[in-house]
Amino acid sequence: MSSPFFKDLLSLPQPPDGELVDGLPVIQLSEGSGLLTSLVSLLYPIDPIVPDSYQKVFAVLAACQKYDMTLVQSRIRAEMKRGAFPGPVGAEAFRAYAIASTMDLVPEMEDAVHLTRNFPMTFESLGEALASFRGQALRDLLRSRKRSY
Amino acid sequence: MPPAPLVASALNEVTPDMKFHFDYPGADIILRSCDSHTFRVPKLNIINISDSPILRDLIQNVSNTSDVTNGEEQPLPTVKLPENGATLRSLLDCIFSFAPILPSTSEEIMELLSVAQKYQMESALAHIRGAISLLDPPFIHLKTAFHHYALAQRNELRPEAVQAARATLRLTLTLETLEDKIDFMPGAYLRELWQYHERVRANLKSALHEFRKSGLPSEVKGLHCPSSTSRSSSRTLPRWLDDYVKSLPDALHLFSLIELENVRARHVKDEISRYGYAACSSSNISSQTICAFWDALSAVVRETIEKVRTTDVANLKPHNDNERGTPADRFDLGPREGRASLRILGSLVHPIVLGYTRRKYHTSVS
Repeated sequence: MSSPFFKDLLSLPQPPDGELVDGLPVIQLSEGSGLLTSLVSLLYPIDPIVPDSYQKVFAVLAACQKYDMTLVQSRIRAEMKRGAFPGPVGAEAFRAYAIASTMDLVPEMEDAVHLTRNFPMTFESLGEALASFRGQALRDLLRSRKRSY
Repeated sequence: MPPAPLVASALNEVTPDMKFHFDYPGADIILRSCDSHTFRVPKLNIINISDSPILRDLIQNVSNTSDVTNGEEQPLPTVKLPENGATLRSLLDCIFSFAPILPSTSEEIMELLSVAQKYQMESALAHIRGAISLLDPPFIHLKTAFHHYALAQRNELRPEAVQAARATLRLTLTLETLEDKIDFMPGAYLRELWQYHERVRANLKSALHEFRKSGLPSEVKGLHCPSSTSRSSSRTLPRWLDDYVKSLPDALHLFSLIELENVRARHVKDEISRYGYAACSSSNISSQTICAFWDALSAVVRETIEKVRTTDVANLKPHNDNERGTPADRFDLGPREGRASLRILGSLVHPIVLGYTRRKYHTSVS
């Protein structure tokens, strides 16, 4: 099993009144169907279902983080590096940083910082992406950019 | 009903918790804070003085459901409120006292305003804002503007957000220079603020263009400066003054009488170094003329900013950084309705069903 989280979860006895579908126990997950399709497809030796945007890739990475699927997470990151999975391009890096920060995806934050260096960090260049920044993310990006120069 | 003196306000009594103690004569209901402080108050006072339809309904609902037993003293009905004891105490002070004592921190003051607004206590809101307006230094000023803008937005306090946004107009708004001021400023608030600055700037450009063209007071129209090269043009101001006015939309921090005098002094100095004497009539411009010009300019700037403020600030929904949700909530990869099978996984699949709230994945062995 790729996930200690699921290993523990599945080792627990099923509640007697738990939901069954076709005689199989049901575990409710909070993720959407598309995300689960990608995630589960990565667990087996089949062609993975590739998300069609970097935001969705980040969402799968975050789910991996949540469920302790480190091997799958590493595989996705490797696929992103070789371009098989979509990553942020150009000025998308600003929004990508904000999203990665919200999801606590540290390597993606670092990659995004690197990418943003090709662009000035102004209200104009951030545009609507600015609204994606939460908490201290904006300040952190400013500082990270300074450090990386 | 005039407010009666408190029986035991006890702000300085022994235990710290007692500072929230509130026992009003004739109390017939208890308000309980989320941190379990109790406030014994007469419900009629709350209903009548607070003027809050929300509190009135809450109190009436509780009163209607309380048990009544013949002749026996019953515990007072209790209304549980989600606010903490400190905020409730401040709120009750506003209801029962003619001179409300404002909490000590900006966060608490904004919280108090927010709660009064939430309960639609118009008179308490006016009371609190009145007390705030008497603060010295002012509650919202240049140094606190960014912080108070974020607090006001978070608490959905439109007048305070507008006031703070206006105060920031005197600051240079670039991300690089804001690094130390935006610790907890969500990007959405900052973007809104920037858009507000942009709208003010655009409106000011247009208004000041009109002012230079046709709004100048008669006193300044006779000013003449030999350094102004375009005498044949429609320029009716000496260049230094015209340039100052034109610079304001992009540099509102220069909008002060002191800055204007600085610009004039620099111009006169340049004139003297160029001609050996002050050739420009602005060198001995009368204070009356300066005042007339400044009053006219100030009126244009103020009215322009006022127009922007009424529609363009504080329209944001609150942003709660704690409400992050799951990534999948925000970046769902597919439809949430319907039902699909993950039979692509063949016989390798663990014999369980992975599901989520509204849809189930059937991963049965096929």
